[in-house]
Amino acid sequence: MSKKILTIDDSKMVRMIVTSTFQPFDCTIVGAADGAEGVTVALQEKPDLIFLDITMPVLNGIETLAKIRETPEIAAIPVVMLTAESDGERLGMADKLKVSGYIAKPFKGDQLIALTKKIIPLAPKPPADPKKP
Amino acid sequence: MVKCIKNSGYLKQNQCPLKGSNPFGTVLTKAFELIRAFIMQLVRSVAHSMTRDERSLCVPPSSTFAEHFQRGNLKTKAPLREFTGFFPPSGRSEGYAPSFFSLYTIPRALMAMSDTLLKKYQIAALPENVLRLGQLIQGAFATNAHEIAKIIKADPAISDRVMKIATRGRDIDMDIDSAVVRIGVDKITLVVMSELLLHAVKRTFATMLSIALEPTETINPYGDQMVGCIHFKGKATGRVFLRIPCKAANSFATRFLGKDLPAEPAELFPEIVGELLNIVGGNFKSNLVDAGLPCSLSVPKVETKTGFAVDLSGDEHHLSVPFTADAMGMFLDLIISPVTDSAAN
Repeated sequence: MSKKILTIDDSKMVRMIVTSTFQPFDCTIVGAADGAEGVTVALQEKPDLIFLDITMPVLNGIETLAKIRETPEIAAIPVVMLTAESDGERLGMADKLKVSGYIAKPFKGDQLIALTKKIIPLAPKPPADPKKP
Repeated sequence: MVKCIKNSGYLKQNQCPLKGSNPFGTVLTKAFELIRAFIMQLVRSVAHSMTRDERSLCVPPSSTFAEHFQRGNLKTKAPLREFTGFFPPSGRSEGYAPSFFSLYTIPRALMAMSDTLLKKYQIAALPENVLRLGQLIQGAFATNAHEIAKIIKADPAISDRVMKIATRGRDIDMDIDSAVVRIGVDKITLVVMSELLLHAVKRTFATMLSIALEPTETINPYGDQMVGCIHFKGKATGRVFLRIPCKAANSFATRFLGKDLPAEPAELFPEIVGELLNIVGGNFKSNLVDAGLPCSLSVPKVETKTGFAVDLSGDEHHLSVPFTADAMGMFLDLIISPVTDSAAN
């Protein structure tokens, strides 16, 4: 069954890298450019996994994570922090809010795939149906 | 710290409880005195190796200070670390049980808390220079040039840069201690911070662009450049600039995005420089926080410029680090306001 991954990051480049990384897999990538938009998209799309940046406008990653955890419809969605900030303070906050993983930027696509596979099953993308236009 | 120890119940009485009430009293008193002297010596050596912040937090086990600390009433969020191994565990300090006192300290450069979490989330260990910066900012204002020199001597790159600044690149015979006195603690802090920044740039370029970065002495002037700027503000305040020539646009876009390039990859160049700086700034900010300088980071601002000049306020210090990447000359600029004694504490 196809999986849905939400990437919340104000950097268009990071959203593009995440999309490109998961292209070989049977999953859909949706994006949001800040924390507030991320919570809205998460409520609409109910993703199987969220990648979340910390330094963002409107709502930062930690505030967004707290919002996700206190919203019953999306509280149980696994969240992986994908951020350049990995100091003890940030790690401690994210850990308290029960993150499923923490990837410190700079990162390689392989790291995203390896961690994602530990959290949700990832199947290769099925071959395109030649009958479909 | 010695004051704290003297205040503990054990040392106040300063005599063996068995004296005069036990046939082996004299022998025991002698042994007791020897043990006491040994422990005092041990404590002094521990205290000597600690930074000023750590020393100020050494407390006897029954102290309300420790209780306050554990309840989180003190300013720092760092957990207490109990010095065990040298001393029996606390909790039996009443009377003359073997536990005479315990020492509690803030972990060096506030790293103990993150160590466990770094392992849990498989995040790379902190650079050694985070510890050095922590030692510098927590101890430098009350210590002498020799102690500062000892901290910076541990890293040849830092020593080298300090010497270059102190001698202004001239062939002058000077030792590190004299160089420290000549350039002062603000510039040394700037040098240590710039090494952390350079480390973050190296990692970011290697991981995101597969480019090995080489520090260089000088770079010939070049034309248009993409200049990214990010501000940090808090106990450490300053700005970081990353300057990359515009001719790197296509190469960087290709390296950053791999096969999924848009039709006009060069159009993404500002975004790429912004994200590189965002990563570098985030890493650097985390290093500052772990060294005991909490601060916040701005969103990067990127623009095309032909020249480069920065306005420095009276007390700001500026260090420009040229480097080459992908056979092109680039610059990293760090500008900081002095980290004051009160800021460090």
